[in-house]
Amino acid sequence: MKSISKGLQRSFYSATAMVFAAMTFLPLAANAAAAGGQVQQRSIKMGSSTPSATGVKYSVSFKTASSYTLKGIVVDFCDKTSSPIVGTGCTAPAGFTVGGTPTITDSPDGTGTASVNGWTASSLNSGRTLTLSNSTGVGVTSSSVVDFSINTVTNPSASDYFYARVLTYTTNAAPAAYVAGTEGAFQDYGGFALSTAAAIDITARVMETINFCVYKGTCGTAPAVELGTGNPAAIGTTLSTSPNLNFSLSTNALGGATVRLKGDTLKSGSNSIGAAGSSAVTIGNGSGLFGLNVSNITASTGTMTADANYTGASKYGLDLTNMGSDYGDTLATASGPLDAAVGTFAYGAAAANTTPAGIYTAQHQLIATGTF
Amino acid sequence: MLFSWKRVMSVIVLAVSVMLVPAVSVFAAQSSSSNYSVDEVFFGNGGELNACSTSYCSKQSAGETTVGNTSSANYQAQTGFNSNRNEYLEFKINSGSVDLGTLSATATRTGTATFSVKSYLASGYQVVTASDPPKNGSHMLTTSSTPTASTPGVEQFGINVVANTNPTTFGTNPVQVPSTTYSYGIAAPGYDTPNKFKYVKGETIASSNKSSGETDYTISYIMNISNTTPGGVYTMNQVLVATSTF
Repeated sequence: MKSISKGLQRSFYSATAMVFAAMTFLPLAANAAAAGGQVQQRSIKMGSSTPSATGVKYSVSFKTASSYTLKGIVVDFCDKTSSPIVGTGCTAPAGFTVGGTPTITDSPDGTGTASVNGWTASSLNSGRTLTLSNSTGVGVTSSSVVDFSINTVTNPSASDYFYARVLTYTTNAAPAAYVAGTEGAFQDYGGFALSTAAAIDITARVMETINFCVYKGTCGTAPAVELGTGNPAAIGTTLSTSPNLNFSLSTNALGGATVRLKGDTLKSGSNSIGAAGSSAVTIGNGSGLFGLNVSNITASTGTMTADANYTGASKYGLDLTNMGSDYGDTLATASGPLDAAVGTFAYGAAAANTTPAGIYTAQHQLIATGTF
Repeated sequence: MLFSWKRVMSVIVLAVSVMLVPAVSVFAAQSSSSNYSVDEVFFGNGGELNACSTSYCSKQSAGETTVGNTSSANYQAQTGFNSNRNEYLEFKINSGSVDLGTLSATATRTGTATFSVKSYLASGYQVVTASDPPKNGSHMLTTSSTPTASTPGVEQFGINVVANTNPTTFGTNPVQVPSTTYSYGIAAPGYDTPNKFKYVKGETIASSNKSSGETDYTISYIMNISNTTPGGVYTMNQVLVATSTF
């Protein structure tokens, strides 16, 4: 009898304790349920992670947790000593601001289904907090996606992690009254973690280059030619032409390149064969002229063009005035980089009936200049 | 007496005391239904949130019946006394600068940089490269939008996030710290092919599809130039952005 009554006592005390315990916890559980729920699939994508970067876009995206008319949103950014947990205090990350007059873009990547286009954006707490509000609002369900970018963010000054919280409201006046820890009657909520980080500095160098060769046949073969026929070769009053000579040019000069010609006409002591001149001309029989013709320039990358003074079928030029200047006469030009450009040119000459006999020679220089 | 009123009153006073302590509403629901939720449920023999010596602190638990991550297609939970209820993202760049030296039209130049990521209570994370490729004035090095082998003499800038043997042995596969049991980061598709390189500004180069411990990544860089690549100093301030989805 005594043991039975003691058992009954214990049962009674336990039941009483459980009743009061349930009464204690019910309000807490009811508070969490009445708020709506935790937003899902939530992220804040930063346009830059560089500390102190300005004008950064933050793309905020989340899926609402319940069905209601959404009229207000708060996004609050907190440093790492704070917490992403709604209901706790929040200290702004050093150097961070959403902007004194923040602007937003609705659904920048097209994934939003609940539009906040045209909503009023403001900041609180000296730029720590973004508020969005609209008197009409937008209807959301548990599968609605809210997606917008904050366009005016300045990143925290430290390279470290920090937090954010989002809260939604069913009234458009509520966001303006938001205080971390005393959030008012919000609907849905959620926390985020973000991080700034140092950037990686990558460096490499490219040398300015120019590769130029003048040759007969292949680069490295001396570009020496004889005009005339017979043995020894001699020119007569009809046109004699030399074998082809070449120049090759490759350069990474962004501004292009120029090939110039320096030298003199054919001379034998004080005697000379006249230069063809500053315009390309036909060297006629007995004309007593000497000149150069560029027949072709090709390139695997880029374009080089011969000067008009040295082009034309069976036309020859030789501008002694410019060729005798400090830098020579322009033979060919390119306006940009060249790879494997090859120019083909030849000389032509015809003696006059009065051209004195002798061995006539000339030495010409081709000079390539790149504009980098 | 069938029962003691004194004892009943003691229980009532205790319960009322609990009711009168202000309920701090802190919302980080770990498990919830439409109408109810519970926070930080623990079944076990006990634990210590902050056990510290002079130099070290630890969180301890004993007798937990279940620990670790559990997930389905749409939900996941972190179980155990030592679970943290704060969303978490840690993102560190471990290499501040990479100098590939003087480029050549006859040989590829290579370099590496490292970063690490860990994220907790997340359904995953992505790391995006947010910068233009290296440039000198207005000239930007040519890049490929598809994984491409390195070709000396053809202007090219590319990266991947795996170990390579061509054009030389360089780079490392993602390293899970402390092991693959706790960390799950991977090189993103397109940046996960050895000896093939690409670069597209704004693309994801590394990711995880769930909460993950630390993964250490190595970015492998290649640079090739042609005979017409303009001379000068090419620089790139590569900004990486890590975003977790919670």
